[in-house]
Amino acid sequence: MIAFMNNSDSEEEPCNERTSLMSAESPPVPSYQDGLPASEAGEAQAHRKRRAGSSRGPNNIAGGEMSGSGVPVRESILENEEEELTLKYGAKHVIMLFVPVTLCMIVVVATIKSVRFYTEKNGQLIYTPFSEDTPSVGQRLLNSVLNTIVMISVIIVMTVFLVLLYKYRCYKFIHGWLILSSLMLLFLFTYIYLGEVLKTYNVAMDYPTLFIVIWNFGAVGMICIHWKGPLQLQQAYLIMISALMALVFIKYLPEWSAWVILGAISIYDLMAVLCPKGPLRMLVETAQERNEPIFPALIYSSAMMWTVGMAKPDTAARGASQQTWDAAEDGREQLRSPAHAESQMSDTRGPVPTRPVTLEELEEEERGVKLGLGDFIFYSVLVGKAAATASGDWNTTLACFVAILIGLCLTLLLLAVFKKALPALPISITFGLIFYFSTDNLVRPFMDTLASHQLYI
Amino acid sequence: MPVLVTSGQVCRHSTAVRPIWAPPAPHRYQSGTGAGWRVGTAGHSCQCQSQHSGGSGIAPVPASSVSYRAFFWLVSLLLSSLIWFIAVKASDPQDERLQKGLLIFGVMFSVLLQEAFRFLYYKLLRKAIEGLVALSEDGCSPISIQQMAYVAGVGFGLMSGAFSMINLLADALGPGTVGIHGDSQLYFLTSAFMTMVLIFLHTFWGILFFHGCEHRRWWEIAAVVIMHLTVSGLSFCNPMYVGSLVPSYLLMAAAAAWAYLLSGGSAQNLRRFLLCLRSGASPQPGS
Repeated sequence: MIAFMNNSDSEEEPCNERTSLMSAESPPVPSYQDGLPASEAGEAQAHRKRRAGSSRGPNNIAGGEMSGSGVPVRESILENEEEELTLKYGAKHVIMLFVPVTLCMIVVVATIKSVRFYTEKNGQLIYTPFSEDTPSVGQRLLNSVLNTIVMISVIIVMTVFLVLLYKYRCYKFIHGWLILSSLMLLFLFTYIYLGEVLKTYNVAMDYPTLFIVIWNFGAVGMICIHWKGPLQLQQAYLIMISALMALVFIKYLPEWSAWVILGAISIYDLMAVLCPKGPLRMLVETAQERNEPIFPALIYSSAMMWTVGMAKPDTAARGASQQTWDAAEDGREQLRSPAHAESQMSDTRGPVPTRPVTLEELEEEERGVKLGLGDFIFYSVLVGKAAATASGDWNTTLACFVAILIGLCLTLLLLAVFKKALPALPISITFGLIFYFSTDNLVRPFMDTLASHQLYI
Repeated sequence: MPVLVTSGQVCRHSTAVRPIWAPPAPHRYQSGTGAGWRVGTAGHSCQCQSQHSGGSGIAPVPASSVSYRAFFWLVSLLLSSLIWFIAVKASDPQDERLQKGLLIFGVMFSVLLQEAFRFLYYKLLRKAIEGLVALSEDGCSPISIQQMAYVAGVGFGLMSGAFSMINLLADALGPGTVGIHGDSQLYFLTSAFMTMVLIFLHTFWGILFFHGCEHRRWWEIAAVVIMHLTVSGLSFCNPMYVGSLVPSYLLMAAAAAWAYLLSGGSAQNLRRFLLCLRSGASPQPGS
């Protein structure tokens, strides 16, 4: 899911996610809010991992807020600026998302190509109960379709369960789920990964060192993800977690099932985000009604908010804090509400907005875009599978990589145009699948023949 | 863009460090296109340097445009591979001459298709730039067609080079001996040089092609297509590398000079540039 995010437009109201969600509806009178971020504040929150989009609140460009400025601004100029801004931001967001998606894919591909553990078949997840070891093609296809049905049903059930939990305000439950899953991901999966990497490179490590390393990595990760931390460290942890999750999927999903699941997940994503009764859409609407952040967990956010203040030392003491929350763990259906983490953050931000608005205080914010971690995971699964199974060919991996990035560009373009929550999976995965199968079967023989004769096109 | 914000404003430079400012003198806020200025009346607005907003305006566009370009090249490659594949499957695999002929046909068709996609990309970019110009306040587009031509060429070249080289590089890691079966021992070297010349050529061809399209000089476009066909055809001389590498580099030098002239360079500029370098003096503005 991709969402535009803008934090804290005003200082009169308590500045937290609620505010950033609120500011679209109730801008403070004397201050002029940029229509674009104010209305985009509505989508500040993350939904599900896979959702992409930004929902816009009412547009408050309309001149009611000119009182703060003496410059008469015509609405047409504002609209033009807004569109310009949208395009410019669209372009900038593309870059802000290119880098983490690329990094995640690089980590996954590097691991796949070097660590053989992740390409060995060692059983399957319980979510894909049917085996693909059957001799006939038809049976294999049938089994993969059945696996897909099982997996998607599990995802749907968990999503609906989460929506219900959220609707009935079982925040503690969701939060506990969140903590448990990130614990497992940060400690157990990292331990396995580290073990396999050490085995591959034949490096010896004793258990005390291992314990210290894993403990530090996991503890810092938990703090960064659930509480506060430097922006880039948070982003790095989210990327690592997505890569770990993608590697687990690559290892445990059987071949054909993986491809069918990828296709089915993008269709599900499309429906869940865009249909009026889709669970994700209901989630967004519920959160908007309550003016709460919608599951900031499992979202990679490229924006940050900082406060520059001279008058208040406490505000100056606040570092760049960003809401990135915990990431996926086993099964994308686990959504968590960061509500408790949020309230902590909002409390710490409490002192900030209640200070009087002074001219000396400038608040700088950067509009960012959020992409669900599930999107990271499934992009990386596609590219990793291409790297693992494309008969040792790098052209296929490269083609899938380019296809996914182009899909991401197009999705961000659509986001800039439609300005509402959009699913990030369908376009990229479709392009990725098309390019995988066509490059593997059509381009590879051509390029191999050219290379053997050393011809250049 | 926010004209004035008393409470919050958007400053679009990304930094990793939190700055703490003293109350600044009235800043100017520059809009994204780098064309207009908005002055904050209450005395503070965010000062975004022109290079910031201009840079952030310009830089992301080519970066994503490189990937669009790569995508277009990929699609052209895909289509040409499809044609070749169908042709090969429909023909007798034992007939050597036929296979060779089909390969030649495949290469030529691929070249033509690449140029066709370059033209399509030009059309797309034109529309995009017109859209951006229409949106901006003063009719200036944030990025010129020459820059886009350069980026388009680079994107094409990078993708073509990556596809040519990456499997070779992967194989170069593994254990093996080059040319053990009697092939040329210079395979990796010459492949590297050939790829390099192709990447450069694509860059220059991008500039030439777009210039030709802009100014409706069809002979420039035809020249690019013919050059591309020539270079691809010359690669059929491999492993007689003299026949393929040397003319390709000569063609590259010619294309480089032509593109340089078309982009506004001249012998005088070049001389001044070299003189400045030699004397170590900083160049005068405007030179």
